[in-house]
Amino acid sequence: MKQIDNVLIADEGMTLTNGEGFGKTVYLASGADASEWEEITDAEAAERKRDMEVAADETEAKARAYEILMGEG
Amino acid sequence: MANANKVVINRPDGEEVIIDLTGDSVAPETLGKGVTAHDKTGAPIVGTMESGGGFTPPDSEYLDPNEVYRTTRPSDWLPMPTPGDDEIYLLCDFEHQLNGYFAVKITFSGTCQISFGGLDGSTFVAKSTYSPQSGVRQVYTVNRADYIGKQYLVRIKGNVTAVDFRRAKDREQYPLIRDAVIGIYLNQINFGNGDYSTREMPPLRYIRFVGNGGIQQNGQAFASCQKLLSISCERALSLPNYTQMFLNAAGLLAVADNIFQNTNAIATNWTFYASFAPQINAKIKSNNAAYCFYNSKIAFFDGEKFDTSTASALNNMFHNAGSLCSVENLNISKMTNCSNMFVACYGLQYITFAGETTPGGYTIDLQYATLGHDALVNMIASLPTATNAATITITNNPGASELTAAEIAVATAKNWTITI
Repeated sequence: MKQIDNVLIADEGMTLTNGEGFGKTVYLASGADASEWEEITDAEAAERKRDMEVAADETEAKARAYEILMGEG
Repeated sequence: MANANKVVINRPDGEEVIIDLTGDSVAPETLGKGVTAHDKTGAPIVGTMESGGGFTPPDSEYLDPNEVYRTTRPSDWLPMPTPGDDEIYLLCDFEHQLNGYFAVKITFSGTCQISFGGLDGSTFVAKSTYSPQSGVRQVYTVNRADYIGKQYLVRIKGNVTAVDFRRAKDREQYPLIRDAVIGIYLNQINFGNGDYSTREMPPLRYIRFVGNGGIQQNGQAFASCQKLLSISCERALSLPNYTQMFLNAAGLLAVADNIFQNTNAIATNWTFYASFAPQINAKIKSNNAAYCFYNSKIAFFDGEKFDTSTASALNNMFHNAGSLCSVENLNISKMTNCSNMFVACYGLQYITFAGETTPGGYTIDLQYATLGHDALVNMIASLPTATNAATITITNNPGASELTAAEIAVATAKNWTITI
Protein backbone atom coordinates (compact mmCIF):
# COMPACT_ATOMS: atom_id res chain seq x y z
CA MET A 1 0.00 0.00 0.00
CA LYS A 2 1.26 3.45 -0.88
CA GLN A 3 0.19 6.71 0.72
CA ILE A 4 0.56 9.99 -1.15
CA ASP A 5 -0.70 12.86 0.98
CA ASN A 6 -4.27 11.84 1.86
CA VAL A 7 -4.54 9.13 -0.82
CA LEU A 8 -4.07 5.42 -0.10
CA ILE A 9 -3.39 3.21 -3.12
CA ALA A 10 -3.56 -0.59 -2.95
CA ASP A 11 -0.78 -2.69 -4.45
CA GLU A 12 -1.45 -4.94 -7.45
CA GLY A 13 -3.85 -7.78 -6.50
CA MET A 14 -4.71 -6.12 -3.19
CA THR A 15 -7.77 -4.26 -1.85
CA LEU A 16 -8.06 -1.64 0.87
CA THR A 17 -10.75 -2.00 3.53
CA ASN A 18 -11.85 -0.41 6.79
CA GLY A 19 -14.11 -3.38 7.53
CA GLU A 20 -17.13 -1.86 5.82
CA GLY A 21 -15.91 -0.30 2.58
CA PHE A 22 -13.64 -1.87 -0.03
CA GLY A 23 -11.66 -0.20 -2.79
CA LYS A 24 -8.39 0.18 -4.65
CA THR A 25 -7.94 3.89 -3.96
CA VAL A 26 -8.98 5.70 -0.81
CA TYR A 27 -9.14 9.49 -0.57
CA LEU A 28 -9.05 10.14 3.16
CA ALA A 29 -11.31 12.69 4.76
CA SER A 30 -9.68 15.63 6.46
CA GLY A 31 -10.41 14.07 9.88
CA ALA A 32 -9.91 10.39 8.90
CA ASP A 33 -7.36 8.05 10.40
CA ALA A 34 -5.29 6.19 7.78
CA SER A 35 -4.53 3.42 10.27
CA GLU A 36 -8.16 2.28 10.09
CA TRP A 37 -7.45 1.00 6.56
CA GLU A 38 -5.72 -2.28 5.93
CA GLU A 39 -4.63 -4.02 2.77
CA ILE A 40 -5.94 -7.51 2.03
CA THR A 41 -5.82 -9.70 -1.07
CA ASP A 42 -8.56 -9.40 -3.69
CA ALA A 43 -9.62 -12.97 -2.93
CA GLU A 44 -9.96 -12.24 0.78
CA ALA A 45 -11.88 -9.06 0.00
CA ALA A 46 -14.36 -11.02 -2.11
CA GLU A 47 -14.78 -13.54 0.71
CA ARG A 48 -15.36 -10.83 3.32
CA LYS A 49 -17.97 -9.16 1.10
CA ARG A 50 -19.80 -12.47 0.71
CA ASP A 51 -19.74 -12.95 4.49
CA MET A 52 -21.17 -9.44 4.99
CA GLU A 53 -24.02 -10.15 2.56
CA VAL A 54 -24.86 -13.41 4.33
CA ALA A 55 -24.79 -11.65 7.70
CA ALA A 56 -27.09 -8.92 6.31
CA ASP A 57 -29.58 -11.50 5.08
CA GLU A 58 -29.56 -13.32 8.43
CA THR A 59 -30.05 -10.06 10.32
CA GLU A 60 -32.91 -9.14 8.06
CA ALA A 61 -34.55 -12.55 8.44
CA LYS A 62 -34.34 -12.28 12.24
CA ALA A 63 -35.77 -8.76 12.15
CA ARG A 64 -38.68 -9.84 9.98
CA ALA A 65 -39.41 -12.87 12.17
CA TYR A 66 -39.38 -10.66 15.27
CA GLU A 67 -41.67 -8.07 13.75
CA ILE A 68 -44.14 -10.69 12.56
CA LEU A 69 -44.09 -12.24 16.04
CA MET A 70 -44.74 -8.85 17.63
CA GLY A 71 -47.58 -8.29 15.20
CA GLU A 72 -49.49 -11.40 16.26
CA GLY A 73 -52.57 -10.31 18.06
CA MET B 1 -23.00 46.21 -33.84
CA ALA B 2 -20.59 43.44 -34.68
CA ASN B 3 -19.89 40.84 -32.01
CA ALA B 4 -16.68 41.41 -30.05
CA ASN B 5 -14.80 38.50 -28.57
CA LYS B 6 -11.54 40.15 -27.56
CA VAL B 7 -10.75 43.54 -26.09
CA VAL B 8 -7.18 44.80 -26.24
CA ILE B 9 -5.92 48.18 -25.09
CA ASN B 10 -2.82 49.59 -26.70
CA ARG B 11 -0.68 51.17 -24.00
CA PRO B 12 2.62 52.92 -24.38
CA ASP B 13 4.37 49.94 -22.86
CA GLY B 14 2.52 47.36 -24.95
CA GLU B 15 -0.90 45.68 -25.39
CA GLU B 16 -3.10 44.79 -22.45
CA VAL B 17 -5.76 42.12 -23.01
CA ILE B 18 -8.85 43.17 -21.04
CA ILE B 19 -11.12 40.33 -22.13
CA ASP B 20 -10.62 37.33 -24.40
CA LEU B 21 -13.43 34.93 -25.29
CA THR B 22 -11.72 33.24 -28.21
CA GLY B 23 -10.69 30.19 -26.23
CA ASP B 24 -14.03 29.75 -24.41
CA SER B 25 -16.03 26.55 -24.92
CA VAL B 26 -19.45 27.65 -23.63
CA ALA B 27 -22.33 26.57 -25.88
CA PRO B 28 -26.15 26.64 -25.55
CA GLU B 29 -26.38 22.88 -25.02
CA THR B 30 -23.96 22.95 -22.08
CA LEU B 31 -25.42 26.06 -20.45
CA GLY B 32 -28.36 25.87 -18.00
CA LYS B 33 -31.71 26.57 -19.61
CA GLY B 34 -32.46 30.32 -19.82
CA VAL B 35 -28.98 31.39 -18.74
CA THR B 36 -27.41 34.00 -21.02
CA ALA B 37 -23.74 34.29 -22.04
CA HIS B 38 -21.48 34.98 -25.01
CA ASP B 39 -19.74 32.26 -26.96
CA LYS B 40 -16.17 32.31 -28.29
CA THR B 41 -17.22 34.48 -31.26
CA GLY B 42 -18.79 37.01 -28.91
CA ALA B 43 -22.31 36.16 -30.05
CA PRO B 44 -25.00 36.22 -27.30
CA ILE B 45 -26.37 32.75 -26.52
CA VAL B 46 -29.14 31.38 -24.29
CA GLY B 47 -28.65 28.06 -22.51
CA THR B 48 -30.86 25.12 -23.44
CA MET B 49 -29.64 22.41 -21.05
CA GLU B 50 -32.52 21.17 -18.84
CA SER B 51 -30.44 20.17 -15.82
CA GLY B 52 -26.95 20.10 -14.49
CA GLY B 53 -26.18 17.18 -16.74
CA GLY B 54 -26.58 13.44 -16.30
CA PHE B 55 -29.77 11.84 -15.11
CA THR B 56 -32.91 13.90 -14.67
CA PRO B 57 -35.49 12.41 -12.30
CA PRO B 58 -38.95 12.47 -13.86
CA ASP B 59 -41.92 14.22 -12.32
CA SER B 60 -44.00 11.72 -10.44
CA GLU B 61 -47.67 11.22 -11.06
CA TYR B 62 -50.11 10.96 -8.17
CA LEU B 63 -52.96 8.52 -8.57
CA ASP B 64 -56.23 9.56 -6.95
CA PRO B 65 -57.64 6.60 -4.98
CA ASN B 66 -61.20 7.78 -5.68
CA GLU B 67 -60.46 7.73 -9.40
CA VAL B 68 -58.91 4.26 -9.10
CA TYR B 69 -62.07 3.11 -7.27
CA ARG B 70 -64.39 4.66 -9.85
CA THR B 71 -62.58 3.31 -12.89
CA THR B 72 -61.58 -0.16 -11.75
CA ARG B 73 -64.49 -1.40 -9.61
CA PRO B 74 -66.31 -4.15 -11.55
CA SER B 75 -69.71 -2.97 -12.80
CA ASP B 76 -71.43 -6.22 -11.79
CA TRP B 77 -70.61 -5.78 -8.10
CA LEU B 78 -73.38 -4.68 -5.73
CA PRO B 79 -73.29 -0.92 -5.04
CA MET B 80 -72.21 0.12 -1.54
CA PRO B 81 -74.58 1.96 0.82
CA THR B 82 -73.33 5.18 2.40
CA PRO B 83 -72.51 4.51 6.08
CA GLY B 84 -73.43 6.71 9.02
CA ASP B 85 -70.72 7.61 11.51
CA ASP B 86 -71.50 4.43 13.50
CA GLU B 87 -71.53 2.06 10.53
CA ILE B 88 -69.23 -0.08 8.41
CA TYR B 89 -70.39 -1.79 5.21
CA LEU B 90 -68.55 -4.69 3.61
CA LEU B 91 -69.20 -6.36 0.27
CA CYS B 92 -68.49 -10.10 0.25
CA ASP B 93 -68.57 -12.89 -2.31
CA PHE B 94 -70.17 -16.25 -1.80
CA GLU B 95 -67.74 -18.96 -2.69
CA HIS B 96 -69.44 -20.84 -5.57
CA GLN B 97 -72.77 -22.18 -4.31
CA LEU B 98 -71.60 -22.47 -0.70
CA ASN B 99 -72.94 -20.59 2.29
CA GLY B 100 -71.06 -17.47 3.25
CA TYR B 101 -68.43 -17.70 5.98
CA PHE B 102 -67.79 -14.54 7.95
CA ALA B 103 -65.39 -14.34 10.90
CA VAL B 104 -64.65 -11.12 12.75
CA LYS B 105 -63.63 -9.81 16.14
CA ILE B 106 -65.45 -6.58 17.00
CA THR B 107 -64.53 -4.48 20.01
CA PHE B 108 -67.15 -1.99 21.13
CA SER B 109 -68.78 -0.27 24.08
CA GLY B 110 -72.52 -0.28 24.63
CA THR B 111 -74.42 -2.18 21.98
CA CYS B 112 -73.41 -3.42 18.54
CA GLN B 113 -75.14 -5.33 15.78
CA ILE B 114 -73.81 -7.22 12.79
CA SER B 115 -76.28 -7.74 9.94
CA PHE B 116 -76.11 -9.67 6.67
CA GLY B 117 -78.33 -8.74 3.74
CA GLY B 118 -78.75 -7.09 0.37
CA LEU B 119 -80.04 -3.91 -1.19
CA ASP B 120 -83.45 -2.46 -1.90
CA GLY B 121 -82.51 0.30 -4.35
CA SER B 122 -79.59 1.88 -2.51
CA THR B 123 -80.87 1.00 0.97
CA PHE B 124 -79.41 -1.88 2.97
CA VAL B 125 -81.97 -4.52 3.91
CA ALA B 126 -80.96 -7.00 6.62
CA LYS B 127 -81.86 -10.66 6.24
CA SER B 128 -80.22 -11.72 9.51
CA THR B 129 -78.92 -9.73 12.48
CA TYR B 130 -76.77 -10.76 15.45
CA SER B 131 -75.45 -9.15 18.65
CA PRO B 132 -71.75 -9.96 18.90
CA GLN B 133 -69.68 -10.22 22.07
CA SER B 134 -67.12 -7.44 22.38
CA GLY B 135 -63.53 -8.50 21.84
CA VAL B 136 -64.45 -12.08 20.93
CA ARG B 137 -63.81 -13.54 17.53
CA GLN B 138 -67.05 -15.00 16.19
CA VAL B 139 -67.95 -16.87 13.01
CA TYR B 140 -71.25 -16.29 11.21
CA THR B 141 -72.81 -18.37 8.45
CA VAL B 142 -74.68 -16.56 5.66
CA ASN B 143 -77.32 -18.78 4.06
CA ARG B 144 -76.69 -18.85 0.31
CA ALA B 145 -80.29 -19.84 -0.42
CA ASP B 146 -81.55 -16.48 0.92
CA TYR B 147 -79.65 -14.52 -1.77
CA ILE B 148 -80.13 -14.16 -5.54
CA GLY B 149 -76.77 -12.84 -6.65
CA LYS B 150 -73.24 -13.98 -5.95
CA GLN B 151 -72.59 -11.34 -3.30
CA TYR B 152 -73.91 -10.21 0.08
CA LEU B 153 -73.49 -7.11 2.24
CA VAL B 154 -72.43 -6.91 5.87
CA ARG B 155 -73.27 -3.99 8.15
CA ILE B 156 -71.52 -3.48 11.48
CA LYS B 157 -73.28 -0.83 13.55
CA GLY B 158 -72.54 0.53 17.01
CA ASN B 159 -69.98 2.31 19.15
CA VAL B 160 -67.17 0.25 17.66
CA THR B 161 -63.50 0.85 18.50
CA ALA B 162 -61.77 -1.98 16.63
CA VAL B 163 -62.49 -4.60 13.99
CA ASP B 164 -60.20 -7.51 13.18
CA PHE B 165 -60.77 -9.68 10.11
CA ARG B 166 -57.56 -11.69 10.35
CA ARG B 167 -57.58 -15.44 10.33
CA ALA B 168 -57.18 -17.08 13.73
CA LYS B 169 -54.88 -19.76 12.43
CA ASP B 170 -53.28 -21.18 9.33
CA ARG B 171 -55.57 -22.90 6.79
CA GLU B 172 -58.68 -21.38 8.31
CA GLN B 173 -61.20 -19.88 5.92
CA TYR B 174 -61.38 -16.11 5.61
CA PRO B 175 -64.36 -13.99 4.59
CA LEU B 176 -64.27 -13.02 0.90
CA ILE B 177 -64.43 -9.26 1.54
CA ARG B 178 -64.07 -7.26 -1.70
CA ASP B 179 -64.98 -3.73 -0.76
CA ALA B 180 -65.07 -1.91 2.59
CA VAL B 181 -66.58 1.49 3.36
CA ILE B 182 -66.10 2.76 6.89
CA GLY B 183 -67.91 5.64 8.59
CA ILE B 184 -66.57 5.02 12.12
CA TYR B 185 -63.48 6.67 13.56
CA LEU B 186 -61.86 3.43 14.76
CA ASN B 187 -59.02 3.02 17.15
CA GLN B 188 -57.71 0.08 15.16
CA ILE B 189 -58.49 -2.02 12.12
CA ASN B 190 -56.82 -5.20 10.93
CA PHE B 191 -57.19 -6.76 7.54
CA GLY B 192 -53.81 -8.45 7.74
CA ASN B 193 -50.56 -8.58 9.66
CA GLY B 194 -47.90 -9.27 7.12
CA ASP B 195 -47.66 -13.00 7.51
CA TYR B 196 -49.10 -13.70 4.09
CA SER B 197 -49.01 -17.45 4.39
CA THR B 198 -51.47 -17.51 7.27
CA ARG B 199 -53.08 -14.21 8.16
CA GLU B 200 -53.81 -12.34 4.96
CA MET B 201 -57.02 -10.92 3.49
CA PRO B 202 -56.34 -11.71 -0.16
CA PRO B 203 -59.61 -10.77 -1.90
CA LEU B 204 -59.91 -7.20 -0.58
CA ARG B 205 -59.66 -4.60 -3.38
CA TYR B 206 -60.88 -1.31 -1.94
CA ILE B 207 -61.06 0.48 1.41
CA ARG B 208 -62.79 3.81 1.78
CA PHE B 209 -62.98 5.87 4.95
CA VAL B 210 -65.88 8.32 4.50
CA GLY B 211 -67.23 11.17 6.59
CA ASN B 212 -65.88 10.80 10.11
CA GLY B 213 -64.38 7.39 9.27
CA GLY B 214 -60.73 6.71 9.92
CA ILE B 215 -58.20 4.97 12.14
CA GLN B 216 -56.27 6.40 15.06
CA GLN B 217 -53.34 4.00 15.17
CA ASN B 218 -51.84 0.77 13.97
CA GLY B 219 -49.24 -0.64 11.75
CA GLN B 220 -49.88 -3.72 9.67
CA ALA B 221 -53.47 -2.59 9.05
CA PHE B 222 -53.35 -3.49 5.37
CA ALA B 223 -50.36 -5.81 5.36
CA SER B 224 -50.57 -8.73 2.95
CA CYS B 225 -53.74 -7.45 1.28
CA GLN B 226 -52.19 -8.51 -1.96
CA LYS B 227 -55.08 -7.49 -4.23
CA LEU B 228 -55.70 -4.15 -2.54
CA LEU B 229 -55.81 -1.39 -5.17
CA SER B 230 -56.79 1.78 -3.36
CA ILE B 231 -57.37 3.36 0.04
CA SER B 232 -59.29 6.63 0.17
CA CYS B 233 -59.93 8.78 3.21
CA GLU B 234 -61.95 11.98 3.50
CA ARG B 235 -60.64 13.19 6.89
CA ALA B 236 -57.04 13.83 7.78
CA LEU B 237 -55.60 11.13 10.02
CA SER B 238 -52.86 11.46 12.60
CA LEU B 239 -51.39 8.00 12.63
CA PRO B 240 -48.32 7.67 14.84
CA ASN B 241 -47.28 4.33 13.42
CA TYR B 242 -46.92 3.14 9.84
CA THR B 243 -44.88 0.07 10.73
CA GLN B 244 -45.48 -2.63 8.14
CA MET B 245 -48.74 -0.94 7.24
CA PHE B 246 -48.42 -1.95 3.60
CA LEU B 247 -46.07 -4.91 3.96
CA ASN B 248 -46.62 -7.30 1.05
CA ALA B 249 -49.47 -5.19 -0.36
CA ALA B 250 -47.80 -5.49 -3.70
CA GLY B 251 -50.69 -4.38 -5.87
CA LEU B 252 -51.49 -1.13 -4.13
CA LEU B 253 -51.88 1.69 -6.64
CA ALA B 254 -53.20 4.66 -4.72
CA VAL B 255 -53.36 5.79 -1.11
CA ALA B 256 -55.09 8.97 0.07
CA ASP B 257 -52.81 11.79 1.19
CA ASN B 258 -55.04 12.22 4.25
CA ILE B 259 -53.60 9.00 5.68
CA PHE B 260 -50.19 10.63 6.02
CA GLN B 261 -50.69 13.77 8.07
CA ASN B 262 -48.70 12.91 11.17
CA THR B 263 -45.41 14.75 11.44
CA ASN B 264 -43.63 12.40 13.81
CA ALA B 265 -44.42 8.94 12.54
CA ILE B 266 -42.51 5.70 12.65
CA ALA B 267 -42.54 4.54 9.06
CA THR B 268 -40.70 1.29 8.90
CA ASN B 269 -40.98 -1.59 6.56
CA TRP B 270 -43.14 -0.53 3.68
CA THR B 271 -41.68 -3.50 1.90
CA PHE B 272 -43.15 -4.70 -1.35
CA TYR B 273 -45.13 -1.51 -1.70
CA ALA B 274 -45.16 -0.84 -5.42
CA SER B 275 -43.46 2.44 -6.32
CA PHE B 276 -44.64 4.09 -3.16
CA ALA B 277 -42.95 7.45 -3.17
CA PRO B 278 -43.92 8.85 -6.57
CA GLN B 279 -47.59 8.34 -5.88
CA ILE B 280 -47.91 10.24 -2.64
CA ASN B 281 -48.38 13.99 -2.57
CA ALA B 282 -48.34 14.25 1.21
CA LYS B 283 -45.18 14.81 3.18
CA ILE B 284 -44.24 11.91 5.42
CA LYS B 285 -41.83 12.23 8.28
CA SER B 286 -40.12 9.11 9.49
CA ASN B 287 -38.21 8.66 12.75
CA ASN B 288 -37.10 5.21 11.70
CA ALA B 289 -36.64 4.49 8.02
CA ALA B 290 -34.96 1.11 8.41
CA TYR B 291 -36.22 -1.45 5.87
CA CYS B 292 -38.73 1.09 4.53
CA PHE B 293 -38.25 0.07 0.92
CA TYR B 294 -36.63 -3.31 1.41
CA ASN B 295 -37.38 -5.52 -1.59
CA SER B 296 -39.76 -2.88 -2.91
CA LYS B 297 -40.37 -1.84 -6.50
CA ILE B 298 -39.65 1.79 -5.75
CA ALA B 299 -38.04 3.57 -8.71
CA PHE B 300 -37.81 7.21 -7.59
CA PHE B 301 -37.35 8.44 -4.05
CA ASP B 302 -38.04 12.08 -3.25
CA GLY B 303 -36.68 13.28 0.10
CA GLU B 304 -38.86 16.38 -0.12
CA LYS B 305 -41.85 14.07 0.36
CA PHE B 306 -40.34 11.42 2.59
CA ASP B 307 -38.57 13.36 5.31
CA THR B 308 -35.84 11.48 7.19
CA SER B 309 -34.35 14.51 8.92
CA THR B 310 -35.09 13.00 12.36
CA ALA B 311 -34.28 9.37 11.50
CA SER B 312 -31.12 7.76 12.87
CA ALA B 313 -31.72 4.27 11.46
CA LEU B 314 -31.68 4.09 7.68
CA ASN B 315 -30.14 0.62 7.53
CA ASN B 316 -31.48 -1.63 4.77
CA MET B 317 -33.69 1.24 3.61
CA PHE B 318 -33.34 0.35 -0.10
CA HIS B 319 -31.89 -3.14 0.33
CA ASN B 320 -32.63 -5.15 -2.81
CA ALA B 321 -34.78 -2.40 -4.36
CA GLY B 322 -33.72 -3.46 -7.83
CA SER B 323 -35.85 -0.88 -9.68
CA LEU B 324 -34.40 2.09 -7.82
CA CYS B 325 -32.85 4.58 -10.23
CA SER B 326 -33.09 7.94 -8.45
CA VAL B 327 -32.77 9.14 -4.86
CA GLU B 328 -33.16 12.89 -4.36
CA ASN B 329 -32.43 14.89 -1.21
CA LEU B 330 -32.18 11.95 1.19
CA ASN B 331 -31.75 13.67 4.55
CA ILE B 332 -28.98 12.05 6.60
CA SER B 333 -28.54 14.76 9.22
CA LYS B 334 -29.31 12.36 12.11
CA MET B 335 -28.22 9.11 10.46
CA THR B 336 -26.03 6.80 12.55
CA ASN B 337 -26.83 3.44 10.93
CA CYS B 338 -26.71 2.94 7.17
CA SER B 339 -25.59 -0.66 6.96
CA ASN B 340 -26.80 -2.49 3.85
CA MET B 341 -28.69 0.59 2.79
CA PHE B 342 -28.15 0.19 -0.96
CA VAL B 343 -27.39 -3.52 -1.32
CA ALA B 344 -28.12 -4.66 -4.89
CA CYS B 345 -29.30 -1.22 -6.06
CA TYR B 346 -27.50 -1.84 -9.34
CA GLY B 347 -29.70 0.54 -11.36
CA LEU B 348 -29.15 3.62 -9.21
CA GLN B 349 -28.20 6.46 -11.57
CA TYR B 350 -28.71 9.52 -9.42
CA ILE B 351 -28.43 10.29 -5.73
CA THR B 352 -28.23 13.47 -3.70
CA PHE B 353 -28.25 13.94 0.05
CA ALA B 354 -29.66 16.69 2.28
CA GLY B 355 -28.74 18.15 5.65
CA GLU B 356 -26.16 20.66 6.84
CA THR B 357 -24.24 18.15 8.96
CA THR B 358 -24.31 14.42 9.67
CA PRO B 359 -22.92 12.51 12.68
CA GLY B 360 -20.64 10.34 10.50
CA GLY B 361 -18.71 7.36 11.81
CA TYR B 362 -20.29 5.09 9.19
CA THR B 363 -19.77 3.87 5.62
CA ILE B 364 -22.33 4.37 2.85
CA ASP B 365 -21.80 1.58 0.38
CA LEU B 366 -22.74 2.50 -3.20
CA GLN B 367 -20.51 0.04 -4.99
CA TYR B 368 -21.83 -1.49 -8.22
CA ALA B 369 -24.44 1.26 -8.72
CA THR B 370 -24.72 3.02 -12.11
CA LEU B 371 -23.52 6.47 -11.12
CA GLY B 372 -21.83 8.39 -13.91
CA HIS B 373 -19.32 11.19 -13.51
CA ASP B 374 -21.86 14.04 -13.38
CA ALA B 375 -24.07 12.14 -10.95
CA LEU B 376 -21.10 11.57 -8.65
CA VAL B 377 -20.13 15.24 -8.79
CA ASN B 378 -23.72 16.18 -7.85
CA MET B 379 -23.69 13.62 -5.06
CA ILE B 380 -20.41 14.91 -3.64
CA ALA B 381 -21.69 18.49 -3.77
CA SER B 382 -24.75 17.47 -1.77
CA LEU B 383 -22.89 15.66 1.05
CA PRO B 384 -23.40 17.28 4.47
CA THR B 385 -20.33 17.99 6.56
CA ALA B 386 -19.57 14.93 8.68
CA THR B 387 -18.96 15.62 12.39
CA ASN B 388 -16.94 12.40 12.64
CA ALA B 389 -15.20 11.09 9.55
CA ALA B 390 -17.58 9.19 7.26
CA THR B 391 -16.83 6.99 4.28
CA ILE B 392 -18.64 6.55 0.98
CA THR B 393 -17.73 3.67 -1.33
CA ILE B 394 -18.27 4.20 -5.05
CA THR B 395 -16.19 1.30 -6.31
CA ASN B 396 -17.30 -0.06 -9.69
CA ASN B 397 -19.48 2.87 -10.65
CA PRO B 398 -18.98 3.95 -14.26
CA GLY B 399 -18.04 7.53 -13.38
CA ALA B 400 -15.79 6.82 -10.40
CA SER B 401 -12.55 6.69 -12.33
CA GLU B 402 -13.34 9.99 -14.09
CA LEU B 403 -13.48 12.02 -10.88
CA THR B 404 -10.68 14.55 -10.61
CA ALA B 405 -8.67 15.19 -7.47
CA ALA B 406 -10.34 18.59 -7.18
CA GLU B 407 -13.81 17.02 -7.38
CA ILE B 408 -12.92 14.47 -4.70
CA ALA B 409 -11.40 17.17 -2.52
CA VAL B 410 -14.89 18.69 -2.18
CA ALA B 411 -15.84 15.55 -0.25
CA THR B 412 -12.67 15.14 1.82
CA ALA B 413 -12.94 18.77 2.93
CA LYS B 414 -16.36 17.89 4.39
CA ASN B 415 -14.77 15.00 6.31
CA TRP B 416 -15.78 12.27 3.87
CA THR B 417 -13.40 9.52 2.81
CA ILE B 418 -14.05 8.41 -0.78
CA THR B 419 -13.28 4.81 -1.74
CA ILE B 420 -12.86 4.03 -5.41
